[in-house]
Amino acid sequence: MQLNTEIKLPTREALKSNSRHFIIPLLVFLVITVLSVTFGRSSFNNIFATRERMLQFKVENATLSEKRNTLAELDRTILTRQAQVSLLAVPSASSGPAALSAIRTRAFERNINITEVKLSEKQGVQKGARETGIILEFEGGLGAIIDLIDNLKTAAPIVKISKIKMVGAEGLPTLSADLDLLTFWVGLPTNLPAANQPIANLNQKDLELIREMEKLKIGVGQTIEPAPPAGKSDPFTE
Amino acid sequence: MRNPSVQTKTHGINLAGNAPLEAAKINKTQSVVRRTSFIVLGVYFVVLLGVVGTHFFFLSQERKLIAEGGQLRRDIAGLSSIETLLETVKSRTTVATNILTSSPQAPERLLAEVIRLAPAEASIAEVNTQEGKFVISLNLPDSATVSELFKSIADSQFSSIFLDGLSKTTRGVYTVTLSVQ
Repeated sequence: MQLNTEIKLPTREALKSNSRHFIIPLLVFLVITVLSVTFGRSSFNNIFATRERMLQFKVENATLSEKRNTLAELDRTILTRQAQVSLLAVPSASSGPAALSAIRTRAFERNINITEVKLSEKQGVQKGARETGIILEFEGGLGAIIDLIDNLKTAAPIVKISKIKMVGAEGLPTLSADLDLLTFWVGLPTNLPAANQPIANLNQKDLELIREMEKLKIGVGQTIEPAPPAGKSDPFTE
Repeated sequence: MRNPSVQTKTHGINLAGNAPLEAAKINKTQSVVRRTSFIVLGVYFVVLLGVVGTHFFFLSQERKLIAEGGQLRRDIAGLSSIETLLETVKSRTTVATNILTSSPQAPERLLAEVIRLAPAEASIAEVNTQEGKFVISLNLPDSATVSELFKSIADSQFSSIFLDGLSKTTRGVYTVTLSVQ
């Protein structure tokens, strides 16, 4: 028996025909690859970037919303009153003259004779405030001086005693005293914090402090009343 | 010669081969591949559309958030006068807190407490006080008053009062110098 088995190698046409079957899947693969690389990737990147920005905006908006609500809840009248009280305790301009006036009034009320006054503006900012130094020399009875020193706690603007020196002469009822004081002031805010900076309302400690500040008594002469017109007639009444 | 009685089984070769079968198989496979490719492409386009849609959705959300933020900023700017007042108050309460907490033992408080210990007959010869240092010299008319002073110091809440000096003048007046840490 003889088998005639002839093995035929695929011809070029056959190969061409067979490879044609893969053209469509190949094209699909190419389209997917090209679109993925060009369009899909950038879209995905954009989505992630946008999502990240959105998260940031959400956080920022939450802060802004909280700040807006905090500010909207505040009572302007109460806040104005609190600002006035706190400005008397810690003025916006040099507090030296006002403190001196307060001390002078108190000394006068206690028959204490002020003999010398020195006022000096300290350079730089200490503990967030500008300092004015006051050196006073005075004479008076011990009880009066102790009472004056004690009474300075209730003076507005706030004064801090840094040094007390007293010398008494034997047999004399009066003492000579040197008093070194510090008084503080802070300029008004020139710039407000950025809008997205969180803001905190006054806490309990601040409110207690303001209540304490309300008890401070200002010295006479801190508010200057305008003098009545003199020497000239009022042109508007004519 | 072929013997007719002998039956021979011939193994013929199908000259047509399995061509129609294979062609059908190939056609089927080709059709499946083509369909699958189109389905994959379709699904891919849907996914791509979804991605693009998501992107646009996110962009619109971002625009909304930006607009919301802008509105909030305008609202805050409208409340700037209240914020200024609040900042003014807060800066002052902060400073006041710093001042009040920075001197736990104020000289005036120490002076008042020490003078409270002195007998009524005592007079001050000299006081020198500043933060961290307190020296007081008292004139006392007799030894009984000196003893009274020491007793009241011993009964006081002070934990460290030092006797720096004790002298007697020619006129019989005692001078006691004390330092408080």
